[in-house]
Amino acid sequence: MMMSVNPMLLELDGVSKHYGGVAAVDLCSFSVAERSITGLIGPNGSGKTTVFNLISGFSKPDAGQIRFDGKVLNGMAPGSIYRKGVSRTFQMARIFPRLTALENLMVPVRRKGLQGLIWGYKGVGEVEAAREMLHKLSASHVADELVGRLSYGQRRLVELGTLMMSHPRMVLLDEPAAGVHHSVLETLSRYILDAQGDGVTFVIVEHNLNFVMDICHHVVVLDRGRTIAEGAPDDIVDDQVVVDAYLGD
Amino acid sequence: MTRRLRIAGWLLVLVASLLFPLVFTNPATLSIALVTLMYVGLASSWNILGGFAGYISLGISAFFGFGGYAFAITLHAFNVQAGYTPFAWLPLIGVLTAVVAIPLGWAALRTRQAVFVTVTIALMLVIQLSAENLVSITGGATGYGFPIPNWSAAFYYKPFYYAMLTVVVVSIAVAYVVRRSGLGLGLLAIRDDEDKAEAIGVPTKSYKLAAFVISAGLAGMIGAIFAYSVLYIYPQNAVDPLISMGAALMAFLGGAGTLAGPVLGALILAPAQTELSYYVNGQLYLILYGALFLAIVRLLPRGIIPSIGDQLRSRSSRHVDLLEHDGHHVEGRVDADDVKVMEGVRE
Amino acid sequence: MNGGLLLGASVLGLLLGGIYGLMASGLALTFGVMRVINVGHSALVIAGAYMSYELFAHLHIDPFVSLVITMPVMFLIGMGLEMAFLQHLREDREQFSVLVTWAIALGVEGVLGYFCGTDLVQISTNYANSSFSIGGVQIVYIYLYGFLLGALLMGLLALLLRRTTFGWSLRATVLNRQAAQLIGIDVAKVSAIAFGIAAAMAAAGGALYGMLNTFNPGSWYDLIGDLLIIIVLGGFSSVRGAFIASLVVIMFQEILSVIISPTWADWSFFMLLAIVLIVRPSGFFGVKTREA
Repeated sequence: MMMSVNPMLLELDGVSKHYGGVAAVDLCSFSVAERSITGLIGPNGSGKTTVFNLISGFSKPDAGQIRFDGKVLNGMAPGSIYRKGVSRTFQMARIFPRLTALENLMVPVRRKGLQGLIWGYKGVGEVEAAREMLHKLSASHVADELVGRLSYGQRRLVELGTLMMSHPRMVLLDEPAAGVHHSVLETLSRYILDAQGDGVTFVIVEHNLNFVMDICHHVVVLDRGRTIAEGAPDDIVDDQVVVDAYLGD
Repeated sequence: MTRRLRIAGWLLVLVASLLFPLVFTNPATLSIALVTLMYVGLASSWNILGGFAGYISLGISAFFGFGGYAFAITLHAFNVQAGYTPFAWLPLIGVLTAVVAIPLGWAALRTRQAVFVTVTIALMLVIQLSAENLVSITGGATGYGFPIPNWSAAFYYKPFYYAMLTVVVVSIAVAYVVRRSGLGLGLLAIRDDEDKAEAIGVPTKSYKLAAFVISAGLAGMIGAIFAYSVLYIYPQNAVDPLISMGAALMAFLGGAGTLAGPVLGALILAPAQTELSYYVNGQLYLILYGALFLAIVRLLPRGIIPSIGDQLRSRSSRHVDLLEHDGHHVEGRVDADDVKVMEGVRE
Repeated sequence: MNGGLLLGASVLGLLLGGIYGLMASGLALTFGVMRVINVGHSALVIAGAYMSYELFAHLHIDPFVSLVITMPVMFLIGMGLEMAFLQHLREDREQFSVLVTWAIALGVEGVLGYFCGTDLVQISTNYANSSFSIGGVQIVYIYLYGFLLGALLMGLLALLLRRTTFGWSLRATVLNRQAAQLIGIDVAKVSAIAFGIAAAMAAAGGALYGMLNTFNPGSWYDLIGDLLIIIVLGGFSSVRGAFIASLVVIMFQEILSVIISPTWADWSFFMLLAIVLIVRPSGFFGVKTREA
């Protein structure tokens, strides 16, 4: 439904990535509509995380084109892609363990000029913004805890909050539900839907199909590095090709 | 510790340092106090790069020595008279050392971790080699003398003491400002996960270089005062690897990355090592120093201040220390904590 | 420019490079296997030199022969040091290891000074200065023997690494400590043995160093900078890289000392290091340096 209304924010066009002789991603093509939540699913080893790495610049595609908002991302460094508004999380939540949750959230805040650099980061509205973000993630009570001491689920929330502090246009979530307690999952779903309402686009790699089917508008199925099906969640569950891919051959 | 208690603590230490030479007037005591202050300053400036950003340098005596030589040569070149006037040139020495540190830091910081440590050792050696070989500038192995002030033996160390104290206060203040700034937050993020910090837009290269250069400039001024106080500079006293190691060790003992840690570490260790060197011969000194070193790394790998912090925290918090050793959780772990947290939210 | 002089310098550099390679390869091995930068490695070299010296001075055992004593002894000492001081290192292993091994080096220096004194000594065998001439190039026997010993030990190490089960475990540990642990390799044991091997190689290097140079307990400090720079150039964890880098660096140094001046030759290590840092921080001769 969204696809027809919104322009495509992210487009992958015949993208391939080989490791040695093995094709991790093989002529993969799909598109993500602006302000949508797109699920990227597929059996283990189908190339989902590799696709994330390619989009976010952590590895370079061998062939094909990746366009974000009409501009080609191929070959750009992760930092540059991030500045274009594409953020990602990692399977093992990557946070700054020896900083507090609040400090974690303030790391990506951009500071201009020498004054911005020298001035204490605890001033000028940054703290308020960070607290607000933690509140939205139902994590206010851990604001001053070192993140290294938090549980896995809480770290994932902090990781997501850190990314959201710099107002990305598109967020790639790598298995956000894995190993996370269902209560945190509820917070996460609610937060994602809110942010999407505010105009953020999400792409989610996830094994938890219930989670995907609940919140995604559009689902792309990968198998052995190729797109084998895409469509609305309800259509995908009935798709024989997808069932075969998951059950194995 | 509350904020007010902390400020009171710092003020107490400052007042005690200001009064020290008035109470203890014995020159021998003052000379130990001077060396102790020197280490407080060195450990604090080392901490800006080594503690905040986690880039352990073993080459801080490169800049310590460079500052000493730069001071001697500048005073000679401008024909500065002995006495108090040389101290007015110290800021210039700091800036000069910092400027020299820019290209060196740029090259050294292209590496990380183990390689970086190694490169800083090489940096120290190359400065020492320069001091030996560039005879026309440095006087080679014989060294370079300072103008000699005509202060009495009883008074001699006092001016140096207060000059050193000033630079030390500046070093700690700089470390404080950095710690509270966007730069400091970025450095701490680099320490924890540099790739991630870079990926979310922290200008890691410039931040690291800034820390390197600030730390070098401070060390340069400290080295300049030290060299002036001993009146003579030559390659071995200018670039001493034991000074590099000492500064790093003291910061570790007190707690690298904290503001008070390096100060505390230096206040404990510097007088101890000086006293030790009076009582035992050189060989035994090395053995004992090495053993002490091993004991500190073994027993207090994270330093005194963080260990105390942990004690306080573990009393006030029910969160389990999960990350201490491996830095990773096993994926799919049952999140008992999350349940507690969510219950907390509902309340 | 005298061509004969240049050739002589190249040959000397090659032979001396082989000897340095013997010392540097142990350093690369310990880093590769254990993620430990052993800044005390050169102190072990000097300890080896003193053992050979004492055996030669008091019992008149030729330093090449006494290797059958000094190498096993240093192997055990190395294993002991590893188990006592390095095995427990976990957090920030690479960086803490520098502090620990520096402390070990100070301790070794102190012990050597305590028992052997701090006067400069040298292992002066009766063939120390004998040489032969080939194609106009004067070659001192000790250099040639040293090079051959270095090549022999490096060959044996290569065989050990490539052809034995232990070597396989060791290489797996170099590639990935954690993964090695998961497939049942006793990483702790492998590390201790690797450190022992490195110490034994240091003993052999020390015997040669002691024949070629005067030394005292503080000489480790002169040596460590050179060795560290060599392994940076060699790609840090590559034994082969370290060996090749030694040959290149020492030849470069010897040639430079002939065509410009010995003073300039002192800078050659640092010049090469600067070039590497600017052009290719991952090192020239080995596998890519692990970053982060």
